[in-house]
Amino acid sequence: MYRRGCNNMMKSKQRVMVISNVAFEPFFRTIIKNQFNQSNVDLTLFLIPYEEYNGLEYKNQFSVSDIIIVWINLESLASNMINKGESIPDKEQKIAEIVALCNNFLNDIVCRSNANILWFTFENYYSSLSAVVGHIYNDVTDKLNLKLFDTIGDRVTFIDLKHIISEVGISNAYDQKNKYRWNSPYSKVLIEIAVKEIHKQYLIEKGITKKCLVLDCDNVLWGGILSEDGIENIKLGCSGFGRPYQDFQRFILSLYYHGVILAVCSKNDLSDVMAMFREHSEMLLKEKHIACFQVNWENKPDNIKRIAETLNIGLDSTVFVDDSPVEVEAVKSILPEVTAILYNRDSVYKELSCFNPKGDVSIANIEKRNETYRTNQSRETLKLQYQSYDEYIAALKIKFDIREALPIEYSRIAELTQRTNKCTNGKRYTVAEIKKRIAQESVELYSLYVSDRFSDLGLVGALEIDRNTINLFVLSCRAFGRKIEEKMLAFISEKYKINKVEFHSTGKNNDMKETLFGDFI
Amino acid sequence: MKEYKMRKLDVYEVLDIINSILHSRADEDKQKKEPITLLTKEQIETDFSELNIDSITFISIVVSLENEYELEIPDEYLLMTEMNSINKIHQVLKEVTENICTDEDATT
Repeated sequence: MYRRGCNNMMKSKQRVMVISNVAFEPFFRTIIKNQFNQSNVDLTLFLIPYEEYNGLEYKNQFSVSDIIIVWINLESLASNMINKGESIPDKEQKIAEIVALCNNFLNDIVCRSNANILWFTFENYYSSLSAVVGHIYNDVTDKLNLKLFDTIGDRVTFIDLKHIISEVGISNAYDQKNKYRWNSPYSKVLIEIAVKEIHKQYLIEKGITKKCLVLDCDNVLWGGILSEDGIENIKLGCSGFGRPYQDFQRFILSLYYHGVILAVCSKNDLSDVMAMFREHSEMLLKEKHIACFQVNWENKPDNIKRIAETLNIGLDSTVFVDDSPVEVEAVKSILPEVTAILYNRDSVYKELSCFNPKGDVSIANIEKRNETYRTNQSRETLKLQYQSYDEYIAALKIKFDIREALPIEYSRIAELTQRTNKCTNGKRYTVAEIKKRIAQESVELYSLYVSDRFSDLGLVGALEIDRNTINLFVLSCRAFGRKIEEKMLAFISEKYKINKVEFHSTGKNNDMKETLFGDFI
Repeated sequence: MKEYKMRKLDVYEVLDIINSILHSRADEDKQKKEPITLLTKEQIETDFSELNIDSITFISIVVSLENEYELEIPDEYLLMTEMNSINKIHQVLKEVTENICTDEDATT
């Protein structure tokens, strides 16, 4: 396993294989190494010609690769795919042939490797026919991509190459000179954007992401200053001055559905802000989407610290957006680990690229998690009522269930291992890695469910035991303060004789090290 | 007549440019752990295949030289057989330069 910690000095390694029927020289190697260097990753690159992937000399590369990139150029594969002149049945047949070819190719890859596969879609923008016949819609490439997605989309991450070309513009995407010299048809700027995308997918796969977005309200979520203008004069809506703010709310709501935790930090009267969230008809963000409100007249850095503590989220996982340069600078100097962004109508979207959320988060899980955060406030109130901590725990009426993990839970377990930094033995898993582990007979994986009087927290912990070694011990910060760790340890002791514990430092899990080693070694 | 203000088009400058490419490639491939073998003046006539310069390095060399001297090498020269030693590369660059100058003279 690679070491990943708060310590930025440690470099991790990644082996990337690119299989293609075109070349990417001379830019690709330098660009991709530099890009990954920015996240302290030392990258080894293998470029394999598509025609030769079956060769014995590449067999070893497959098994050691972490990421496999498939980038098949349609023009080189089937140069007459977009000619008018082939009859419709022929085209359908050709599409089916290509999809079958890709499927077999993918099966071959999957046999040889557990790597995460990034597959670039086909594109036909290289065709210069539009200068002559105009921009008439040609459905062949789209049909091909759709059919391909249906066939292999569940086993690969599909990168939209057409979208990337759109970003740089067709006239900037190709390099005719290099195409005819050494079969390297893509331009340097296109390769730069493509490499950024590859890097992005790496961050998403590894769960390297900010978790929480803290939002100012006035002139960020709506136009105007609530305490001065009054709720009736606030600008928010689908047209006019309020439109950019509603668009921004719509974007943030999408982030919410991708698993980002939202919080509000505003200098306002709480009742006014709650009135906006509860009653204003043009608000897309509602009270239920916000995990924590800190609305008062105190300074923002303190409020953000309070938010981080309430939600049990590290400051280094927090992003703050405000329209006031003064507030942003204050947070930058007092809380340098927080990413502080100055709101600007046009540039704010790109700045939020520090989030790398996975696409396949279930909405039910998100809503459940948000409920937990909000009901945590009720738990805090309950705590105040009880004299001893033990009485409080008893009053919470905690229900706790450990059982063998089902495949459908692997995604959530992987996410847990990547997001948790405190109550964990530090082992990080991707779904592919879990599947690999579970294939071994001696390995047993458990998922842990917790609920209490106020809500059902869902799947909040996991254990992996291999004979007498603990390979994974993870508990979400949300489930803290209920003595659940003790229950987990008891469970392990009853079933197993442990004499070895795997441990990786996250920079924040030293307590866990002492607990695990103390109990078992 | 176009003057080359950047680097002089002499064979030792070409050697320097090629060496800087070899150096940066060696930097990238730290895991190879081989010492960087830069080329020397004695190797100006030596065939690239004996100097461990593969086709990918060749591509980098061509692109760098074109950038450095702000010219475009016609495709017919771009074979490893035409440009497989430092001296041969230098000859090609000279020819291309002379052709450009001749063309410009013809139009003015």
